[in-house]
Amino acid sequence: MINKNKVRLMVSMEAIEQNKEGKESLAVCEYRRRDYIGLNMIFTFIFSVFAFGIALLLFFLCKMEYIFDNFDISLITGGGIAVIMLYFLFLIVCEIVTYKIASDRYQEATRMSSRYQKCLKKLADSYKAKE
Amino acid sequence: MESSLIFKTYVNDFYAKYKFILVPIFKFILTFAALMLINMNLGYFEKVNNIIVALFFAFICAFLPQDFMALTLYGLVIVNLIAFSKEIAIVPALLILLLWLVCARFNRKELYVAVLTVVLMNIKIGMAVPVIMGLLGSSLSILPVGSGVIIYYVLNYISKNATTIQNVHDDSMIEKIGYIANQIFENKTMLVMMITFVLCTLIVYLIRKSFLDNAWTIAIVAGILVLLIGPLLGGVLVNVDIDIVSLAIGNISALILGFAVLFFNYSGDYSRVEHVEFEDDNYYYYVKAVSKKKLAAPDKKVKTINSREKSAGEIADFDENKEYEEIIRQAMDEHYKN
Repeated sequence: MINKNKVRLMVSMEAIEQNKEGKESLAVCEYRRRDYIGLNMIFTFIFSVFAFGIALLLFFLCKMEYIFDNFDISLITGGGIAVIMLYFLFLIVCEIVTYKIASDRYQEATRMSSRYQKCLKKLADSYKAKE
Repeated sequence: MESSLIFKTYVNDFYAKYKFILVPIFKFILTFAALMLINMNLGYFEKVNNIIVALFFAFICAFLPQDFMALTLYGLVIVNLIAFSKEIAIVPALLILLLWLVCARFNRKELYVAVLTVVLMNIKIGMAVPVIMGLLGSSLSILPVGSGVIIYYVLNYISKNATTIQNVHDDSMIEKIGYIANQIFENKTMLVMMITFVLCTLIVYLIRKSFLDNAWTIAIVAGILVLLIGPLLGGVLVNVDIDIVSLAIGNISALILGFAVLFFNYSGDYSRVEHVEFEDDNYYYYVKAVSKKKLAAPDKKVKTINSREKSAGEIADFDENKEYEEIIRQAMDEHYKN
């Protein structure tokens, strides 16, 4: 005889495991919250270096003529300080956005994972009860 | 009303059943359309400037992740520009790389939206994209939508002014690059449209997520207003030429497609809203429950009159299989409800 509850539980678990979002959620939940957010923030730091570098290069290409015409120490000093301040501002904004996104993703992944764990526990309990 | 709900149920069931075929078909059509647009507007690289190559890449992109589709298209754009002139290619290539980096870092799942924006803007219905993404996406959808607008105007500028750019500052590479960079970044139309699209996406998203009655409808109307007022205001403030006919076509398409998305994705019946309050040990709950407009599609039952008599064993097997299918169907329904 088919145990309807067991089939129901196994189908729910399989639907989570086979689903793309379910797989991602289960993978995310292998990390602790702090580690997952920290990892994302490290990736964002690396990204911010490249992205700011490209943006700076584009700005330099736009203002190349002005820079070559007015090239002196004060321009280098002032420009350097402005670039450093802008980079830190850009980095802070990116890290705040990453923190928010990673927190939301982890929360969503935890929700899906807890649903999976509940089904697993019920299934394990049904096997124990049978024994 | 009932027939529209039945039609909607059939369409949703059809999509759920054949999603594994429909999604690759959509990706194929989008990639092919984008490649043909690249070939028509740029087409400087002879080896990829034909329909066979476009079909080949579209076929591959249909079965690979959407990251690959965006990378392929951006790569082909840069290759076309390099084939025309290396100096012209530098600034657009860096800009496309920057936009791809930003979208890939924060909103990788919607990279295809930038491609979709470019394609739809070429056929004058690009204004539907911010409304649709505001309804279906998240606040991060502003990144691919904004990127799509920028890439469209950059490609548009280069395709229309290629010969002029080639002849300007012919002897100095640095001056030519500086000229191109200035022309791209000082394009006020691009700036106005990008701000309009981003604002529209944000406003539609925020209103849609709010607890207002008929939030989706209000969001669409608000989005259309932003799409109307934004370019006109930009035209007045920064002296930008706006094509009124394109604006009208864009807004009408946004309205039609917005309500189509609303019809297929949301079926709240605001005439039967319930407000409930309850509490548990940790929280007080104030819940607004909006019932769904639902109508089950009629099942067709086929009755065979002259069926042969079955043995007892066959009948038992048939019943057990039927029971097994019913259990699985119920379990899947419960899973998708949750």
